[in-house]
Amino acid sequence: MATSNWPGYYAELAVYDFFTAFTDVQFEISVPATETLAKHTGANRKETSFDGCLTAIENLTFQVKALKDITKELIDNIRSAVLSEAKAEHIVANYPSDIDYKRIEDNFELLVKTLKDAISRKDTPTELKDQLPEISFRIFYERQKILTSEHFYLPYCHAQEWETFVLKHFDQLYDAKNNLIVYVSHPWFNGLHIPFMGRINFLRAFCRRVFCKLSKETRPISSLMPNQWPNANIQVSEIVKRIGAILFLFDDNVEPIAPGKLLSPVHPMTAYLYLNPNSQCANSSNRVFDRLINEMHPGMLSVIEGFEFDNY
Amino acid sequence: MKPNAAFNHFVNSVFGIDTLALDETKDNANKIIGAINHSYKDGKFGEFTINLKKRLWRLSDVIKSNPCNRKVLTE
Repeated sequence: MATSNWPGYYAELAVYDFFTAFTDVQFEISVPATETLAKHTGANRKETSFDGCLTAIENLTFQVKALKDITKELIDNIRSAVLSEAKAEHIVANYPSDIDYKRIEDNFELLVKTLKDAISRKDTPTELKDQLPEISFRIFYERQKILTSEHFYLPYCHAQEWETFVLKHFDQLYDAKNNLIVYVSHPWFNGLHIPFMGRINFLRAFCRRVFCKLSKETRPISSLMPNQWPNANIQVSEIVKRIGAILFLFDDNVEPIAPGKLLSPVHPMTAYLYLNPNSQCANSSNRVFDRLINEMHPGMLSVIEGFEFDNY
Repeated sequence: MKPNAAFNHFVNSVFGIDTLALDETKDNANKIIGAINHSYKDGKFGEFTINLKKRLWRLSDVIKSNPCNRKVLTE
């Protein structure tokens, strides 16, 4: 955890704590890449690693990812890259927090260059009108006591913009077995998905888009994510069918727990489980995830959603 | 105490002496190390530090019987 990539390690720690509260876990396992979707990436890989395996629950493997506010992280990185070379006191960005982060990622270098050029001309407002009209920057050359910025956020818009997010690591899914993806959020790397910002609305809308919409997407992943997976030759629907469920863990361990609040055995984590109604292993999936849910202590899951009557 | 020294002390107090030995002359500070360092220095981020230590204690109990898991956690 002593690295700049601490959210990833922190997320794994939280997940190990969550699962070991009720079942046996093998931390980190590797399998031949031929048993996973890595074989469709076009790269010659020998092994695929999983973050863990629930040995008492039919060896259900899981992958852990930090659910970060990637947009904010990218904007912070742009700001650091500019201020490390150009002389200004502050760069303030106004942007919608529910934007598709890939658009910022794709224009990262252009944004850095545009801001550096603006500073060399001593400009104050700056934007990329053609590529990213939603984002604007203000540059300050003298120290300010107070800085303000504007952001917009709609959970349903965020779910729409992020619907392919789950495909980012498709190569880490088993081919012929159930897969569980676990996303971990913490206030220090994700200030977006807090309850009063429509957390549950986002989670449900995001999962429904993945499970119910993308399960009908017949285009190859290379056409949806050409920058990341230019040579991958698998249909998006085939990837989505291999996801059995997505578990979200929100680790709110920064603030004190309100007195008298009923605590789960892994407080201060809040867990939300969404099951894929279109999983390829629908029958065994139900069995595995029924076992997973039954093994958990009461109070560990805040939401269980299977989309049975909402799968269209 | 330097941030890395605070983090070494924090981890080693749970998993045993010499489990973690970050170079104490260097500054690896991230949000976690910074918060733990603050908790030693001025008591800030107490809730976070207490909760994280409880988590490490729980995991420390779990990995006693599984050397492979211990290796993953402590390396």
